[in-house]
Amino acid sequence: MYILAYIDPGSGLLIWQAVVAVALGLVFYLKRTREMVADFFRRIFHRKP
Amino acid sequence: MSANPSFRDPSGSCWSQDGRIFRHLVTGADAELDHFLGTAQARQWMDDGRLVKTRSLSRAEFPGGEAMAPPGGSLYEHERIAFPSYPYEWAPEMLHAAGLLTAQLAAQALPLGYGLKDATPYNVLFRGSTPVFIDVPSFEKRVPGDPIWKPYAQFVRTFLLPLLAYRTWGVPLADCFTTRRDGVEPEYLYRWCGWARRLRPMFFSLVSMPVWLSRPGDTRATYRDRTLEDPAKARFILEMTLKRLPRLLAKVQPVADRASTWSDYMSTHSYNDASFKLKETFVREALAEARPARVLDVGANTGHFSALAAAAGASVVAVDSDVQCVGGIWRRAQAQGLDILPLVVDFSRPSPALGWRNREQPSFLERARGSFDAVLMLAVLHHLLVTERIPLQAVLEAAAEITRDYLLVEFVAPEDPMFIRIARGREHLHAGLNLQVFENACRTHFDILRSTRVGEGHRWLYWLRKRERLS
Repeated sequence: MYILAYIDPGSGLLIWQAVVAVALGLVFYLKRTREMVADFFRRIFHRKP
Repeated sequence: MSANPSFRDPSGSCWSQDGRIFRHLVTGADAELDHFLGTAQARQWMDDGRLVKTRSLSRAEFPGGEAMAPPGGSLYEHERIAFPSYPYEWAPEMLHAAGLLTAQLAAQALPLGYGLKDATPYNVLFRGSTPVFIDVPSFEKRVPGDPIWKPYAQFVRTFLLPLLAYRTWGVPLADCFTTRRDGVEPEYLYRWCGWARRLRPMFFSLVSMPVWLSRPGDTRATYRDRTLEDPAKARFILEMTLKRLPRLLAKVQPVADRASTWSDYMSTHSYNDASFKLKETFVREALAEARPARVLDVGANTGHFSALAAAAGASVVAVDSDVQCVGGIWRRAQAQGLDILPLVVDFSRPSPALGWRNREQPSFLERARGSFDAVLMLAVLHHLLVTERIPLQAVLEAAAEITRDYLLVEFVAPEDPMFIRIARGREHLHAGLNLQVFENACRTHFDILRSTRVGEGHRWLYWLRKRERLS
């Protein structure tokens, strides 16, 4: 992989992006938890007797 | 003859040579670009015109052969965009369109495992009124666990904040870009805001929070690369960040309802219907006869005559000093699919050469010189003579430098009501100006093919042909 980042990433803007990223990370876990729970109930109700 | 190569990107450089656009990439960067260009998505973007057409070039194909080609790495050739332009010349609507294109490409590249490594308006040129992304090596293979889009700050500085400043305070884009290479820092807008504005949604996230969080002193910890163990989480964060950009752009989108000095010209101009129709017919017939491939419309105002030129098959560059007018022309060109590139340029004080040693962005006149088959100067000459105090001979000389062939110019005599209005008591300075003086001045560089008086007023149209024509 050839990456040479050269643009100015900013200071406050970079930190703010990181703060927002942490919040989005929480949203990701909530979303994933909700999907796991929904999947669990789907499997229970569609399980063959 | 080669123009100054670009130098900021460590992966290589791009330059213009003998009318062609070449790029050299160092070893490593070339493999990444080749891989990207091979993807179906890149090919589709080139086909639909959103990405500049690019092809690999062998060293033998390079002008002058292998010996003249830069050593190592790989060579590429790009499609040439007819008239390069820069964000300080764009209407805000155009900066918005360029930002939207950048955000869309960044988001659509993500499923391919690619991202953009920079996000600046200098990565975009306009083909007519349509934005085209030209910095192809900006596409880089992403690190799967990296949740941060490093160009976000540049996108904010160069797209969102200038548009926010324009929408809030009417700050022209030229003020943001002429003296600043990389856009506007949040600190710059922060000091203009009162406390209430600092807490409003757009200002809070784009201006206030970045200012409050910015760190003076040693910031190595801030810039250390952090990757997440879960690439799906990193991808999700990045997707949400990139999805937000079009919504932010929508909130700073320029509105069309602001009026300016000249934006309502079509309803307030000095012509009656019959005179205007006569003017239209004269222009139409001249264009049909000459069939110019490229036309420059100086003082284009609403773009009415630019549209006539485009309808006659020309690629048109339309310049006007009024930002609202240029924005209006752009909207019209987009809506009607017209090949018109409108730019905010005051012909009496056109964009200078800018950048490092004034060699990175050539001046407007350097780009325009010899680039057009016909130049239109309708209802603009008297503004140059009266308001800007440019001598008549100098205006015609400038027109002769720019056009390769034709000039269509409207002479407005000192008796005309608009002439008197803009003279503001200085009519005595133009006492010697009359039709004969004007025609004599034209004959220095041009032959007069034909002319007509526009109705019963004090305006005449002249269709001129340059005597020393470029082949």
